[in-house]
Parts: sequence; C-alpha cells; structure tokens
Amino acid sequence: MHINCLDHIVNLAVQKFLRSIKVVKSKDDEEDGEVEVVEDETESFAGTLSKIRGLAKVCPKFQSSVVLSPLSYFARYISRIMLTYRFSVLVRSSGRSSLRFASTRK
Amino acid sequence: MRYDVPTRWNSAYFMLTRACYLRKPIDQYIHDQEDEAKQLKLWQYKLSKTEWEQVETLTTILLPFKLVSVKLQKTSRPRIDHVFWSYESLFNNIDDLQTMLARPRYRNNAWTKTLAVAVEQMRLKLSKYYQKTEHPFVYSDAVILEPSGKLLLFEQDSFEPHFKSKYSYDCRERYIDNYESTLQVPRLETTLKRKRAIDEDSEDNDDDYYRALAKAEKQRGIQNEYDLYIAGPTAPKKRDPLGWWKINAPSYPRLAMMFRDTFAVPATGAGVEREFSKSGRIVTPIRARLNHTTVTESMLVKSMLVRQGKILKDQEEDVDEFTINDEVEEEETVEVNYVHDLWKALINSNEGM
Repeated sequence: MHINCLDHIVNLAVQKFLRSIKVVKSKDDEEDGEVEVVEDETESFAGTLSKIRGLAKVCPKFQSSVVLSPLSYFARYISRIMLTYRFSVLVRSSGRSSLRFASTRK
Repeated sequence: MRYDVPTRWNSAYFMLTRACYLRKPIDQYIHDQEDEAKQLKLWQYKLSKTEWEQVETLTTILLPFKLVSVKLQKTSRPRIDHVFWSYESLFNNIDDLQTMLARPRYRNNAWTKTLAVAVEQMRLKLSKYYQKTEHPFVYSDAVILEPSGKLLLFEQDSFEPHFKSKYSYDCRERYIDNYESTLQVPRLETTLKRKRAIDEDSEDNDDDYYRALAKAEKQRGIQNEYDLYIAGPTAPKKRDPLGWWKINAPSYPRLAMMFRDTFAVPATGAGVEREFSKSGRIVTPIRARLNHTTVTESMLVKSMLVRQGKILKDQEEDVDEFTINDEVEEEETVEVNYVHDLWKALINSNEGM
C-alpha cells in the first residue's frame, strides 16, 4: 500500500496554482541573471511577481537598509568608528604588540 | 527581501508576505532614491495599487496551504489522523475562494478570471490525490482512533451520510479480523470476573447489577472494545492521542494495539528527509572520511539531545547565527499575524456582501 506524502501533495497543488497564473518560471528561465520585468502583461500576476523578484535581487538587505532612520544609520556608523579606535588602542597598548612595534622599529 | 525558490516549500508565500510587510518602506525607498540612474532602475520595479492588491490576494490564498504544510512537518507527534482533516480544510478554503471570486465585485476584475482558473486547477490537483486516499484504510482508521474526534469528521457536511457508517463498519471489521480474535491479551471479561469474585466476597451481592449492566450493553449493541470505544465519551480537546491511549490502553488492550499500528504510519516524508539532511551536515568536506557507524551514532546523539531540549552549539561563532534565527522567527510571527488579519478582513468583507 502506498501512502503519499501530504506535504508534497500540498506543494504540488500550490505549484500548479502558481504555474496557472504564470508566476513560476519554466526551467529555461531559471538561469541566474538580470531579472526582467514582464512588460507585455501589465498588472498581471507574472508581472507583479517579476517586480518583487527584481526588488529582492536589487535590495537583498532591504529591510535593514530601509527601516533604519538616517539618525540610527549615523549612530551605527559612529559606534563602529569608536569600536575600531578602542580596538586599535587595545592592541597597541598590549605587551606583545609593543614588542612587535619595537622589532619593527629596529 | 526574500527570493522564492521552486524547490523550497512555501518560499513563494514567504517572499510575498515579506513584500506585503515591507510595502511602505519599498515605496519610500524607490521614491527617496537620490541617484537618478538607480532610481530609474528601481522605478521599473515599483508596484501599482492593483499589483499590491494582487500580492495581498495571493498571500491570503497561500496562507492555508502554508499552515497545513508547517503543521504536518512537525514530528513531535503522529499526524496521520490530520490527513483527512487537512484535505477537508483545504477544500473548504478553496470553496470559499471560488465563492468569493464568483461575486460581481471580483468577477469584473481582469486578473480575478486568471485567478479563478488557477484555483480550479489547484482544486483538481488536490482532488486527484484525494481520490487516492480512498483505498488505504489507514487514514480513516486514524481519524476514528483519534479519541477527541472519533467519527466527527464523517459528520461534516462535505461527507455523504452513508460514509460515517461505512468507515466505522470497515474499521470495526478490520479490528475483529486482525486484533479481536488473533491476539492473546488479558481479556476484559476475566478482569470483570475477578472483580466480581472480589465483590461477591463482600456482603452485598450485586448479581442483578452485573446482569443489568450486561443487558444494557447488549441492548446498546456493544460486543467488543471497538463498540465500547465508539460508545464512550470523546477525549477533551487538544489532548495528545498518544497520552490518551497510554492511560486508556488497559481498558481497550486490543484496540490500543490497532492504534499503535495505525499511528506508526507517517503522514509525510518531511521528518525522514530532515533526518537525512542531518547526515549531510555531519559529513562536511573537512570531515569526509567518517565511518558510517560514527555518522549513525552522531545522528542518534543529536536527536537524543534535541529530544531532551539540549541543542548542540557546534562553535561559538554560531551564537550570532542563533540570535539571527531568533530575530527572523520574531519577524515571521509578526508577518503571519499580519496575514491572518488580511485573511480575516477578506472573510469579513465577503460576509458583509
């Protein structure tokens, strides 16, 4: 007796639905490359989905870059500079690094 | 933003949900772009109001499928009894959608015609596989042996009235053929006789009481454990069937064996595939010469630790990864709530019409 995997069946049904509205690409179109907007079918599902895919490709880290306000951008930038500075001070003040610098001087 | 992958389940849903969630930031980002060349490039991806409506509609259509898929992928308890219920809920959702798309408000839209055809295609695909569940009896038996529901599913409107008696009769016959007569387990009657003997020692003689009980059971048509189980009250909601059967196995010893055999059948291959993926993560390029027994044992140890709630942290670097995963989960929760609201709004708007 064969028991089908229901998860696969659900996926098949969804794929059928997506193919019917021409949202899922055929195998030939799956090659990596620039995402082109389907211009012929304005306000079709295929056109809409190709736009979203295009956005996903253009801005992979969209959420982090958009949701943050310019102020928080600035704050993050400053904190990184401070961290780098403190780290460099720490390295230079350690015994081993002073020896290394001393040897460099020679 | 997320990108959909055809081989990854629910990836289209996740991409659409994320896009819905980030609708305002996306529009703002495209609008506020200072670099003209970049803005020109981004402008072609700007979605109109109708297109956003399409995205929201697609998300609400895909949500029930995503929920069923995620529910079935869990391996914390057997899910074979969920199969019929899942089909039932998916078909109900599809019926709701088809009713909604047939309304004048949606019928005039050009894109809803495409949607109606696609939903019908999806229904046909599901029906094709649903017809295949008619032959394997494990689905119907699992539904009946789930103590909270029993025959409740077959009382739903989508089932014809004769299905309830048919499935129940077939299950009873299988129980009698395979468990009632063949298995040697401590019989209920023996226990009752022993109990009666103890009671007879006491001053009260309850012969009439036992006779009346036997007569009542006969009148109710109770001849075996199956009949007793069906006639009994249903278990409280959200109770794990394994726990219920563990407690009640002494009352239904043979039926409990049937339950164990039925619920051992997995509803999906997702759990097994996940286990195989674990082996892929153990045998990495830098550990390519592991013995097969080592791989097996490592997988078993990992599973045991997960069961005990002690998840392995391979390296200290993974801490960041765990934190990120937590954040992603939080985001997903927010998004799912958002889509739930959309779905409710859609249903309410239909009811209002």
